Amino acid sequence: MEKLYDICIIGSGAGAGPVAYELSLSGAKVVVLEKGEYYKREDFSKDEIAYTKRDIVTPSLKDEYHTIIDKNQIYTTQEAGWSFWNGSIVGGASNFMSGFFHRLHPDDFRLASKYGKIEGANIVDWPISYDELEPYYDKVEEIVGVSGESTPHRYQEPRKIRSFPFKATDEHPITKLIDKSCIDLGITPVVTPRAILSQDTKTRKKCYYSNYCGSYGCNSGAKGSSREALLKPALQSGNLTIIPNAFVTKLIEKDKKVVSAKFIDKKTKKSKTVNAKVFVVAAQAIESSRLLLNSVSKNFPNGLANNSGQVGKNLLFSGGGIVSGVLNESSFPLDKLMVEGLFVNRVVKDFYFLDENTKGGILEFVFEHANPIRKANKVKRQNGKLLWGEELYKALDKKFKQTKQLNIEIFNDWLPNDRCSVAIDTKRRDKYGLNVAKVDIFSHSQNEKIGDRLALKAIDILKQMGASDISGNISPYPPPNLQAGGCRFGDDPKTSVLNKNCQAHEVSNLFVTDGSFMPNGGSVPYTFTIYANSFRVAEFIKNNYQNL
Amino acid sequence: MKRRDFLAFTLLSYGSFAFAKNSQNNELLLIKNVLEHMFPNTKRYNGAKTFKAYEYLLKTSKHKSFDKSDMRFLLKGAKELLRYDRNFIKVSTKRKEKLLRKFENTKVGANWLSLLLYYGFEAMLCDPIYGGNKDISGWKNINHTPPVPMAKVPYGKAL
Repeated sequence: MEKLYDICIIGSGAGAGPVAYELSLSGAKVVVLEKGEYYKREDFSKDEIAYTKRDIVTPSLKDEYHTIIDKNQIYTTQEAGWSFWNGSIVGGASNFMSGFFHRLHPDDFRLASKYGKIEGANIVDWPISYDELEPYYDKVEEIVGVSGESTPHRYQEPRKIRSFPFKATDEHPITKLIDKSCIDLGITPVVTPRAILSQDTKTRKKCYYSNYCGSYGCNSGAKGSSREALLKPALQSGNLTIIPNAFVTKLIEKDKKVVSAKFIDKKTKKSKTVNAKVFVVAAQAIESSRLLLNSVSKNFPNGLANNSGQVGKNLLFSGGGIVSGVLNESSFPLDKLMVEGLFVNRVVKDFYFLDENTKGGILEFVFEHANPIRKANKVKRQNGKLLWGEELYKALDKKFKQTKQLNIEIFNDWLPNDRCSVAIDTKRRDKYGLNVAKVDIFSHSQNEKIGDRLALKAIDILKQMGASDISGNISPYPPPNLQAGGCRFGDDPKTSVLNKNCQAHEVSNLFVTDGSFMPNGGSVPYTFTIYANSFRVAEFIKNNYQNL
Repeated sequence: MKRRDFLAFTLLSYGSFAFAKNSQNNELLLIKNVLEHMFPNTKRYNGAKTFKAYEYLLKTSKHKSFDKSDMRFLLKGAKELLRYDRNFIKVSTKRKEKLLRKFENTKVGANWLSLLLYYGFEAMLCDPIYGGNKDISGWKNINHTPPVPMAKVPYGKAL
């Protein structure tokens, strides 16, 4: 007789880790099916070629891709060279995050009732409040590990536990100039909470400020990836099995319950199945919707849990973009400016709401990433002409020895709308023969308008700092690493896929715990909220999985 | 892939690519020569000869993760440049500069030179495990601190 697990989780990133952790430690038998390889802490290096220039930790676009609907154009990500994969290894994209961990604001849970509808946007209130999620934000700060300093500001979210469990990470000297410039402008700079350990724990070493954080796996265990913070301790329980290279192609349903997950073992190319009492999908928003839509059965001819037609709808990315400026010795002492590795650690939240009725966003300060190949490639063209020889060397000197680029990353709401969605491309298949996801990336016009307003604030700050070459890029194109929505939760089965416990309305033993549940994303990166919500759902599953 | 600022060339069509073909020796030699022109050895900078740009390109292009259409395009562009002057390799530096600037004024030429510069940067600034950045001569050019840890194996985990 085939083994019957209590819980089968598809994916191993931020939405999966808390469920694996809580259920394994409570004694349940859990299996995680991860599409990619199992990289351990010691496998990672700061190798720009491997981690940013080749498809090593993501599928090759030749083999696996998405179809994109971009206004009136349809193209594949292979044709465009634009990958929507974000880390297909154990721990998922959380291995490669920068770790800005901002909570949502209480008003993000009640945008519709507090701020009213926006034409062309499907704004709804959440079925839970901030108060219901807050204990789980606290839990993430403690277990995943968040370093920070509670700074009072205009739109500060309530915190029952005032301080952070870990002191803020060490910060770059430039924060002094940022603080002064902001205060001179009447703006409050806030210390960025970060899922990076500033102090050792029993099993993880504190950050060693490698200068290579975002896009790279962590070698000390300081970064709060799902793999390091949750799956490793869960494995210690003896109740967790992780199966890497397991690409789940279909969930098999019988009598409106999932009975097994069918997957391809990528090493042997053989098709296998796993049986379990409860199934948790956490494959990142686009792929989670794709899996449900591809899991067609007699009871669910339009895809699993999709008799409402809501699976794949109201997909979210993040609005905003980047404003950057160049700093040199005229604005800050060169020896201090060129210090490497330390975090900039500042964010501005004064514009989270722009006026009484308008949601804004945040401004996050970060130096251009260290990646020298990428940085060098950016200076190869001046005034439309390619540089080489001595002219190129002069440009490289300026870029690497005399200046530093400070970026202000802008995050604002990506408004859910009827067009931005995931469907199945019935004409295109990946190398495993599975129909690929067709993603409409339509951006509501408000996304750009708000981004532009925030960009003006960022420009003011950079000017005040004495930066030169200030430029901005607020785009209607989505950042593929910030995905949510597609299986929103709600009380009404006609307009949502999941109930408030992220349990499918139509399939009682099916849960979705990545960012898919979110009706709106707030104006911050999603990982913290995905972790917190997954801990909340894990508690429900823990108390109920024997009776679902 | 995060470096596709040269999408135009995908509109072109290319023949099949195989390194061993003698007919491609001229194109490969030209690629080596242009890399050395773009990244010359100077008093302050270690050039393509020193950081082993050409050797890096040959090596990395054979790995399964390398975009094969890039090498097809590099060979195709080299063939095109040879039409400007069959003796490109032997002409003076001044003449080479003139020919390259002329080539840059064409769509194919601009894309080709841009792509070759890109691979020059990969060769100069990659982890030395890949065969470029010989003795970290490329990192020395820009005062780059070697990262910790450096690669123990190329292309991520040894699988």
